[in-house]
This record gives sequence, C-alpha cells and structure tokens, in this order.
Amino acid sequence: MEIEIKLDSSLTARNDEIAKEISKIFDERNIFCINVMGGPGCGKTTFIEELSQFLPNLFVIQGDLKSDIDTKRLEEKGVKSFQINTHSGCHLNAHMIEEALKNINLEGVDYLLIENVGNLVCPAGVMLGQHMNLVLNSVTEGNDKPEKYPLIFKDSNAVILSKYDLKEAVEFNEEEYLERLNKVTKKPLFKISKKDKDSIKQAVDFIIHEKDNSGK
Amino acid sequence: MHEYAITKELLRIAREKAKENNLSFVKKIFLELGVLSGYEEDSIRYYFDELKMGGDYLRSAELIVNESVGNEIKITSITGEKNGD
Repeated sequence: MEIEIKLDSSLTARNDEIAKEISKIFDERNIFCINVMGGPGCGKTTFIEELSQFLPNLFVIQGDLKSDIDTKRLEEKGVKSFQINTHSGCHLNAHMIEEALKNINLEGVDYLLIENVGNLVCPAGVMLGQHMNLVLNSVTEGNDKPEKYPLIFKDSNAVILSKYDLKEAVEFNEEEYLERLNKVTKKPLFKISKKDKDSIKQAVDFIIHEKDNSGK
Repeated sequence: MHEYAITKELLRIAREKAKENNLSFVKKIFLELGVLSGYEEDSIRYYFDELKMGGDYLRSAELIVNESVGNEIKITSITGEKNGD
C-alpha cells in the first residue's frame, strides 16, 4: 500500500542551521559581519583595503579556490586575515566559516568581513551568519550585470560600483546601468574609487549606520 | 546555481526519511521549488536521474516539482511502500 509521509524539509537547512550558530557567536561578541561578493577582479580586496583605513578592529576571512594572494596583500597593509581555499567550490558556505572561526581569535574584533569567492552567481542566498551583504560591480565589467545576474543584486543591502574613476576610459554608460539596476533593486548605490577617499567614506558611513541599527 | 550539491542533499533527506518511516522504497518525492531560490528544475532533474541510480530506496522514485513564490527549496512529502507490505 502506498503511504505518504508529510515533510517540510528544506534542502538548505543544514547550511542555514550552522549559519544561525555562527550568527549567535557574532551577536555574543558584538561583531558586525559583512559578506562581500562580486565577480573576479571587480575590486573586492581593494575595497576591503580601503575600508580598513576607516573601520576599526577589522578582521577578514578570505575565500578563493586556491592561493593566499589576497591574505598576503591584506597582511602587508596591516589587516588581519584568514584564508579559506575551497579548491573547487564556487562559493563559501557556513561549514567553511565555522571551521575557519576555530582558527581565529575574535578578541577585540568589531567588524568581520568575509570576502567571498569571485562569482556573481553562486554566493547569492547562501547564509554564512552575516548581518549584511554587499555586492561589488566595477565600471570595467560593462553596464549589464544587474540584469544578467539579478539574484545577487536582489540579495544585497547595497551595491558598490567600483573603479568609478575609469568610467570615461571604458565608456561606461551610467544611465543605462542605473536603469538596469533599478529594475532589480532599489537599495543604495555607492560609486567608489580608491583615488577618491570621500567616496570610500560614504560607504563606510553606511556600514557604520547599518551596524548601529542592528544593535551590534 | 550548483544543482548537483542540492540534488545530493535532496536524495540524502529522502533516503533518511524513507529509512525512518520503514519504507522499502520511495515512489514519489514532492519538491517545492521557489522561483527566487536560484535553482533550475531542469538541472535538478538531470542530476536526480543520475544520482538516484546509486542507491537502494530511490531507484524508481519519481520527482514531482511544484513551483512556489519565494526562495525556499524543500521536500514537502514523499510516498512509498512500507516494509512488509
């Protein structure tokens, strides 16, 4: 006789349960965690280097398939960081963050930035225990990424348009970009360049504001 | 998105629930797929058909997918024959 068994089993439950535990650890220690996403070469590491000049007590968890290039870069700038190599994984998951945290001293940390694997597809919607998602998109990537990769833009609390100083050189069509972006998300957009410290400051102010609002 | 990993998890859960409920085999798996989940039905089916052959409970299981709003992806029920029937 055929019987039916009712379930409500989420396929992302295992990851999400671990992410919740990670969130608890951050909440207990008043650490504000930001998941920084974006395609390869869009400027995530540079953005984090710039943030480190304004955000106090920063720690970075770096995610790449291979190498420790970015961790070394950050350490040279005096930013403490920890490297996760996924080997073939296309995004970080909660289990990887859980394992990384076992090797990290969170004493005195106010901001924990997770630099996700360079990828505009897979990191979207994956819970890591973060409080906030940022997606970076550079002017050198063309003006169509929000329309082509909507999920990651929808999933983010703000969009960072990087390398803005190269706008003219690559004939970036800002009007078209904004039109496309608006169809997908109405969240704040920050146009930044490492050559314009004021632009970085605006993003920093937003982050601090979000931290204050979250009660961390 | 990476349907291979999520489909493996689907089969793992179905197998676990079949064991828990003393089923001899699973006939149907009902999957609710959120339109904002980032997962595509075609890709899940592709891996499902391949991966189900690797086990015991699921060889003849049929996957029934219902679309839903939101971003969740979950098994809402499974059907099968109880052991000893």
